[in-house]
Parts: sequence; C-alpha cells; structure tokens
Amino acid sequence: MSAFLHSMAWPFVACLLLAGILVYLGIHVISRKVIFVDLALAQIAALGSVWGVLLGWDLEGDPWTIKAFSLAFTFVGAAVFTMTRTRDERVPHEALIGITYAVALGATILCSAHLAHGAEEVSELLAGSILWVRAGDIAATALVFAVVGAFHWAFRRQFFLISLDPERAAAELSSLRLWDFLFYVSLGFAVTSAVAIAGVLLVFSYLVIPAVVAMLFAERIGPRLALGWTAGTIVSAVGCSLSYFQDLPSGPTIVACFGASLVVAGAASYVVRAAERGRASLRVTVGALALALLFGGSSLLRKHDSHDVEHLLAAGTKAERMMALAQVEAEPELWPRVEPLVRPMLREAETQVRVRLLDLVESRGGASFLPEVHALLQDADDSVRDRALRCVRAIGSPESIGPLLAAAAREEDEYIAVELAETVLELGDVRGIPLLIDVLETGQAAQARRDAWEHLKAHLAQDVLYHEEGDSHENAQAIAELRAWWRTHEHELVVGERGVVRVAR
Amino acid sequence: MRNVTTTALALFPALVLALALAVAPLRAVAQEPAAPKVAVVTTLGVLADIAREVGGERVVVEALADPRQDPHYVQPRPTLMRKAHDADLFVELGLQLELWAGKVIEGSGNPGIQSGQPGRVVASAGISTLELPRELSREWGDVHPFGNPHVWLDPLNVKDMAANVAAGLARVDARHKDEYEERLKAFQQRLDEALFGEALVQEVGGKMLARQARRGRLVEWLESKGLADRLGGWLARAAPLAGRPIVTYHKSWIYFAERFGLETAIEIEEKPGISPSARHRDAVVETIRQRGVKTILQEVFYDRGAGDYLAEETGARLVIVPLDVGSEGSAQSYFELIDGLLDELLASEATAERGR
Repeated sequence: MSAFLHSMAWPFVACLLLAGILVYLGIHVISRKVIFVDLALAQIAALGSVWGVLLGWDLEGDPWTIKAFSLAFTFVGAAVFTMTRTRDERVPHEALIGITYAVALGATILCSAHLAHGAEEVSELLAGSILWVRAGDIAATALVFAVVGAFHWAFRRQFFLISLDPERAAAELSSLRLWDFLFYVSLGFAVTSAVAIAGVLLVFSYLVIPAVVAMLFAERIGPRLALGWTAGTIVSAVGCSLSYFQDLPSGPTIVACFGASLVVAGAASYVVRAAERGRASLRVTVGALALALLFGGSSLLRKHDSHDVEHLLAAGTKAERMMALAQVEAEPELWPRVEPLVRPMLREAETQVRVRLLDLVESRGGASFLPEVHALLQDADDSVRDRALRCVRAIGSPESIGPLLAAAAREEDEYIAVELAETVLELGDVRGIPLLIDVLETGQAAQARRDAWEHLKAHLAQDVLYHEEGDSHENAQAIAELRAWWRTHEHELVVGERGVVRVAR
Repeated sequence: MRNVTTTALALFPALVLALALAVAPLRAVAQEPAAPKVAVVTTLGVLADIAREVGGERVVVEALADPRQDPHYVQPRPTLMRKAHDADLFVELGLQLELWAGKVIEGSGNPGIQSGQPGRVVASAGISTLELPRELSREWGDVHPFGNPHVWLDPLNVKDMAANVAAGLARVDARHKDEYEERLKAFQQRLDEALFGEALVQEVGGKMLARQARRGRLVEWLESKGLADRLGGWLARAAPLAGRPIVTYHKSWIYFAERFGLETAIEIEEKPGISPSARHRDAVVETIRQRGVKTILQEVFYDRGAGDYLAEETGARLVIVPLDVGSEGSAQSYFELIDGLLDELLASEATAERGR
C-alpha cells in the first residue's frame, strides 16, 4: 500500500492541480460552446515552438526563447478566437475553432517537414505524461495555475458575465473584445502548462468531462464548481489506483474512468429527471445490459490461433519457424511429427533456421539426416559449415569421411579446413594428414598455421624440423619433408592409439 | 440562368476528378539512367555510408532519413518519392523497421526498385536476428515479428549488410562487379580491424574471430590460444564495460550490448510504442538502484521526460546518443558512430556513483 502511495503521490497531486484549474475553465469553455479551443491553443503553442526551431533556435539549448515564441503564438491564437466570435453566430464559433486547430496542425507538420528531424521534438510538446512528473514541474505548473486562478478570481464578474450571458455582457461591458482576449490568453497559459505535464488527451478530458457532469445536475456556478471538483478528484483517485494495480498506462486509464463517470452521471441524471423514475431506471438497466451483451458477445468472436507446429514449420516465416523449433525442443514428443519436415528445411530454410535445426538434429542423434548435414558442409555461410561440422563430429559416423574430404577440397576457411582434417582423423582415416599439411603450407593466418601444426604434432608423434617462429626457408624444407614422408608411406599408415598415425604393422 | 450556373459549378469538380483519374496511371516511367554513376538511395544514414564504402567513386548516394529522426516513423513526402524515382538502387534495412519505405517505393513510380526487382536491396537479408518473438500477437505492443531490427549496431552484422549492398550494386552495374567485390573485402577488413585490432586480425584472420565472437566464445578461444592480450580495437576499448548493466529507452541496443559485453537491465518503454504503467516506472527505478546502473541510454529523438525523471530520482546519468550516421552534428561514418557510442558509455560508466 505504501508503495502505491509513494509511487502515485506526485502524479495524483498533478491530477488534482489539473482538476483545480481546468474544471473551472471547462465550465467557461462549455458555456461558450468552444469545446475544442484547448486543442487548438495547445496546437498553436506547439506551432510557435516549431517556428522558433525553424528560425534556428534549439529546443534544448534555448528553452526560454522557444517558450517566448510559443507564448507569442498563443497571444495570436487568442486574438484569432476573439476576432472570430461573431454576435449573430452565422458560422458557429466552434467551427472556426476546429478550423484553426486543423490549420495549426497542418502548419506544424509543414514546418516540421522542413526540419526533417523536428517532428519528434515537436510531438513531444504535446505528449507529456504525468507519470514522469517531478516536484519541480509540479511547483512551476502550480504557480502558473495560481496566477491564472487569481486573475480569474479578481475579474470573475466580467468573465462569468461574458461566458454565461453574452447579450448582457455586450450591453454592460465597455470592451467586450478585450475581456474575451484576456480569457483566451489566460486559458492558453493554463492549457499549455497543463499539456506540458499531462499531454493533450488528459488535459482535454479534465477540461470538458467534469464540467459536463456538473452541468447535468446543477444550474448555478457554485454548485457546478463543487460538483466538478468532486468528480475530478474522485475520478483522479480511481484512475490512478486502477492504473497502478492493473499495471496500465495512467493517462489513458484516467481518461477511460472519466468516460465511465460520464456514462454513470448521464444515466443517473436521466433517471432523476424522468417523470416516471421507475420506467427510466428500467430503460437504463436494459441499455446497460444490452451494451454488456454486445461487448461480451464480441469476445466470443476471439480468433483462435492455431499453433500447429507442423504448419508453422512447413509454411511459416523465419520467426514462426524459430518459435516452432523452440517448442519441439521443449516437447520431445513432437519430434516424430516434425521429422519429415526437417529434411527440406535443412536444404532451403533461412541461415538462422538451419543452424537451429542442426542444434536439434545433433541433440536427437539424427544419423538419419546425415546426407543433408553432409551437404551443409559445403554451405555458402561459414557459420553453417562450422555448425554442420560439429554435428558430423557429434554423430561420428564413418560414412562422413567421404563428404568431409570432398568439403575439405573446396574449403576456403583455413580453420574449418583444420577441423575437417581433425574430424577425418578422429573417424580413423589417415587422409586428414595431407589436409593439415596443406594448411601449414598455405594458411594465411599465423594462428591457423599454428593450429594445424599443433594437430600434426599430436598425430605424428615424431620430430619434424618445423618451428612456429622459425625461419621460413627452414620451415618450407620441413614441410617438403613432411610431404615426402606422406607420399612414401601413404598406403601403409593407420590411425593408432590416441590418434597417433603410424605405419601399420 | 441560375440553374446553368449551379449546374456548371457542380460539374466543375466532376470534370477535374475525371481528368485526374485519366492522368494518374500515366505517371512518368523510370528512364534508363544516363549518368555514369549509380544513383543509390537508402533509408538510413548507415546504409548510405555502407553504400559509399562499397561503391566508392562509382556511386552517388543519398539517405532519406535523418539520424535525428525516429527511423520507424518517417513521413513519406513527395520529395522522398522523387528521389526514389531517380534511383538505380534502393537500399532499406528491412525487418519491418522502415514501414514507410514501402510507401515511398510504391509512390516513386520506379519499376526497377519494386519488391523483388534487381534494384532493391534489403540489407538485413540473411542476418541472424535476436529477440524473435515467442508468441506472435499484438499483445506485445509493436513487437517486430522478424526479430529486433537494430542489427547495424553490431559491427559484425555490418559486414553482412555490406555484402548485400555489394550484391545489389553488382546486379545493377555488372561491369564494375569486381571493383565492388574488392571494395567490399577492404571494408570488411577495416571493420574487423576496427573491432578486433589490426594485430589480432593479422594473426588470426577476421572470419575466425567473427565466428568465435558470434558464438560468444571469443575471450575463451583467445585465452586457449594465448592471444588474449593481443585483442585491440573497439573490443579492447570496451573491456571496462564488460558485464555493466545499463538502462535503455527502447529495445534498440541489444546487438550493441551483445557485441560489447553490456547488459540491458531493463527498458523504460516496457512495451515498445505503448507508454509504461506506474509499476513499470517504479520497477525501472528499483532496477537502477539495485543493479547499480550508471547509464540511461536513449536516442536523440525520444522524449527526455522519463530519462530526466530517472536521472533525478536515482543519480544515474542520462546519455543521449544518435544511433545512425548522418549529415551535420552527428557521426559522419559508421566508425565514428561506434567510436562516439563507446566514448559516451565509457565516460558515463567512469563517473563516480552518486547513487541514491
């Protein structure tokens, strides 16, 4: 429990702050019927930042300059909204707000296009998250909210007059447009600060939904504020808790809770106001049941993925095949079903799959796949050849000798050549010796020659005048001697005890 | 009179629509490149760098994405399509990293670079990927179904990517095939030398070292041959980083971590593309404290909010880096990119821990 409190403390405080200022502003916004003004203002502010970046200022390096641009654009936005509010409402104000939002969004994208990289930084401006909010952010935001709040408290008479009774306001107030402008400017400050810590979605929800809930039940300002703040607080608490205990992203969870609260409030309001409460309650219950059935029913349409291993192996993508192979490894009883598919896959599948298959073949002692594994000794990819060789070694069948020698004839990688030779010798055939001599003579990497020499020494158990760090002329002679020895005794040599190659007795 | 005007006004948009429908299919067909140089267009900056290395004087290369951008999400603008239209070779990374590339290619009207055509290169073809999903469903949030696509952060993978690019160049410009092959080998050699050190590559050979490194047995093998002290290059420089846990924003660093011995203890983005929950955030803080993580690594194009929060809470250092090669400000070549990344990490890990 204390972990929860500690974890969600600051985000919850942020939520309460948001509720505090935004519920109040929301009542104004809804009364004025300019619901999307917060989205528009946030976008305009973002456009201002992008404009600043376009003019060469840096988002990280010159934050105050960028903020100034953002603020300036907010002023302009406020002016636009003030100007476009027509008395006779031939064109609804909301339409113009929406248009401003769309145009601002388009303009932002256009400017970001010129920046090429600016898009990311700009989208950050609108995507704050309360989860990462710090004490410093809270303090700064609280300050802005306090200033806006104080401003609105001081001039509450004017602001409420304009929002709730524009006719009277036009008559009584001398400079209506000025008050309108100040309203939008202060709204802009509040919204842009809020968006910085919470993101556009959450801010919109705090602005609109609690106010709507309040307006369903109350007529006067006081009760509306009280109801709105209460609803905001409760939903914030429920949302934060739910997101914590259900391990969900906080912002969207709170928004979902707001949605639910509105549905509940709406139903309650409907029932309360109905002439016949009984019938109204019945309708609400039926409606809720219908919705539940709809969602419940749709869950029956769940797609059942067939994790049929054979199907995935035969026709799947690389990822699906790897998944299937992992499953086969975990469940040995699947092996018989899968066996027939392995052969073609060893020939054709992607490199990563083939290496994985070799793991499986080796662990199953797959001597039946030897022909395919032999083919992989000459695969184009060196890691496949390497893996195939280890597989051949593990299986240890004399049938492999021929394919090993064939692969060695074409092998470019000197280390694999050494291992091929070693494997041949392990299988009891002396023809690994000339392969090692080849690497000793022509190997490019010093380490490869050393490896070949180490193996030769072990197998020959005789003194040869070859020294690793020695004179190359002497070594060339030593190698020539080795070759001569081989040619002479080639047909009499056998692999004896401990791998030592000697003349057959 | 009114009726005629209204009819005319109504007809006008219809006429324009008809005209547009008539013209659209006739978009310009790609012309045979008259210029002697092969025009290469790539999605990422690192691919452009590779193309220049392999193509040399024979190519003129341009990258569509900027390293300061998130390569997953680039706006497929008409200018990009126009560049693709003029391309002889289009190089993308693949593995579903650049989903926008498909739109650019389709919109380019260039038949030579369409899917399956010789002018199209998928640089990641044949490369073994990590983090293949264990279950294929969107529940994992934007998980890449072919494995984690950030393959270029392992220098060994860049060798294979260069081979794919060289093959592409050979297809569209067969006359200079040998030259591309030669340059490819030289580039791969330089990558090996940068990674393992010249001395060791000389002694052992790049292919063997790469094989051992891929199997995770390089140090073991070097020790068995008495060559452990000969290791140079990036791997030697990265020795202090061995086993160090770091926190990253996105799962973009697994290949880099694999190669240079780091461990990504946890990612901030629990599920890529989905914002984390409160408990995950706490888990990240807890992990940093418990494991003594000193570095939070994130790309330039991600939001700093989470990183700043974590740095403040735990005292770890937020390190912001590019993960691609590009025009101004950031690394100009792949070698510079890896150098820069190692520099940043070594500096960050070297700072005294101010843990809380």
